[in-house]
Amino acid sequence: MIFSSLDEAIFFIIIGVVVIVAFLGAKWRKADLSKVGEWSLGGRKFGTLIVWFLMGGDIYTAYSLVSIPGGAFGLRGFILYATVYGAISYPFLYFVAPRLYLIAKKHGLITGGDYVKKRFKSPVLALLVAITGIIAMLPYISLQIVGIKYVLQSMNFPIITSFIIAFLIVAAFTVVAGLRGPALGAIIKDAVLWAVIIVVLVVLWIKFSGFSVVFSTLSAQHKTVLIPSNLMLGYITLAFGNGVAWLLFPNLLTGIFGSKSANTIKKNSVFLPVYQVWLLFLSIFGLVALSQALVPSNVSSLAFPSVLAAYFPSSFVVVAFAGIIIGSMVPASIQALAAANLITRNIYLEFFNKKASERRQVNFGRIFVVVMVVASLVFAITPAASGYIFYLLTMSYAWLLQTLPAIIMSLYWKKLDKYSTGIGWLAGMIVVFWGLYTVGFSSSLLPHLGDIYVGIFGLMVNLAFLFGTRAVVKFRKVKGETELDETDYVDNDKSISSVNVSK
Amino acid sequence: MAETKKSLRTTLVKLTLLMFIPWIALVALAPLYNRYSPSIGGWPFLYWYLFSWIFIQPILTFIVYRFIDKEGPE
Repeated sequence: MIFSSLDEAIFFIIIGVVVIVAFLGAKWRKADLSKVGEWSLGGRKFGTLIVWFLMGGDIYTAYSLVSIPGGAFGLRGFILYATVYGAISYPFLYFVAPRLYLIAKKHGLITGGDYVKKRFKSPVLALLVAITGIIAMLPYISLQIVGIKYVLQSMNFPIITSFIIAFLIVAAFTVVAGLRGPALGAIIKDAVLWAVIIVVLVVLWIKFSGFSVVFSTLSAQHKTVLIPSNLMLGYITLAFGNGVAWLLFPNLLTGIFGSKSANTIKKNSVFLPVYQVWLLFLSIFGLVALSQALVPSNVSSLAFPSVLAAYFPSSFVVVAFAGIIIGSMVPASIQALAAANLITRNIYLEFFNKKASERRQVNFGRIFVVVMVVASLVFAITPAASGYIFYLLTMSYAWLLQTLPAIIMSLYWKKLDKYSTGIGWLAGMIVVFWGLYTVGFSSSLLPHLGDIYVGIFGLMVNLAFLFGTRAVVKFRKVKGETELDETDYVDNDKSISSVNVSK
Repeated sequence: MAETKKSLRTTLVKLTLLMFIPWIALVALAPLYNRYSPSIGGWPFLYWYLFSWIFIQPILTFIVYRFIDKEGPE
């Protein structure tokens, strides 16, 4: 597709406006690192409908516009794992998050690491959890950069140039947002993305008579749309593993901790899964690209841009592309800020300088934000980044999953001690690194183990070591320490309303 | 004691609606729902089955929210 200079001007103006608005818009609402998470789940100032709208934009970032159709294009039904895991993660959140939130509220905790420190009386375990969160953010941020790169590539920029511009866009926006807070940019992003996706859906739905034509064309071409049977174990373990790990995203935890009440968390997790419907349609958009052979040299990540280019006028395409880019840079910056927050709070403050002034903390935070974006480039050069980029996200989840015992199991297993948890964590993390290394960071499935998802395999080893260590700990009669007591473990607001809440 | 028994039963019902059912229907049964027929409106079974679950699970969660936890709008 050929883009006129007017198209390119529109494209850069939209992006430019968002950066400027994000910068100027700080006064509109107070900049706060946890703000986004706050309106994600708490919605202190907004009604349920608006929260629903905002949170969807938060979770379903633009990477999904590139990675999900790309996955469907190459791996067909396998990508539907992404549709499935919402129905796993939200009910799971509904069950466990209120308990976590009520503990956090009572004790004034902000990050997952804070909770672990309190629960196990162990700053070291808190450090391990914080490190996990930081490592896990790297593939996520790089996913956004890579997503932008593909969009620029389909605007006929050379690959290297695309990559450099993508990095600069994310880095620049993160620095801007780090100074002022990304909230307003996030709202513009949501509006553009919603408009784009609805228009694309309606147009394609009519064109392909409810997509039945897509399915019948593929079937006539003898191309399956099912989950490839050799990837079945991968599908099952990915759907389950990601569903359970989703809650462990540091930014989401902070959002949960910042909510208004346990009731709000529950209420929001009832209907948010309906958002998954977009992911299903995005998968089908990938099949559209496949059935019509739209993708140049079969680069799977170009599936969605190719669909746009084939059926829409160039001026709409550039708006959509700008939407994808805004929708990538905003979440990338949010995650970079969340990671920087973890570094400052759970590492720098805890271990290096307990008496750091507020100003010093903010400055350190700014440096770490940039460090995070640069460090994420490590993942941008992995084979996954030039193949199926959704695998980058599954790498994040694989690591986060290893903190499941520390953050979730510890809520119910009140005798769980720090030694068992820590050793299990170490074993799990090593297995995940090893597993990803054996496949050369090209995917997150282990072919020599029936294509099982590395995160689940890691968790299995993690739990085996946890139970093994637990047996030793019990035998040596070491008592697990905690700063929590029996009355802390409750599941609804009413249980603590009678107790005096210290905040 | 009767109180504990009742709360244990409530927890089990909640666990079933929030975790066991979706885990079985969406994860464990994947080899069974990975099929073309019966199709609806040209959509293979796999696609419309998962499409329906996007709406079924929120209903199950809502049942827990309203009738078991007896929470309501604030």
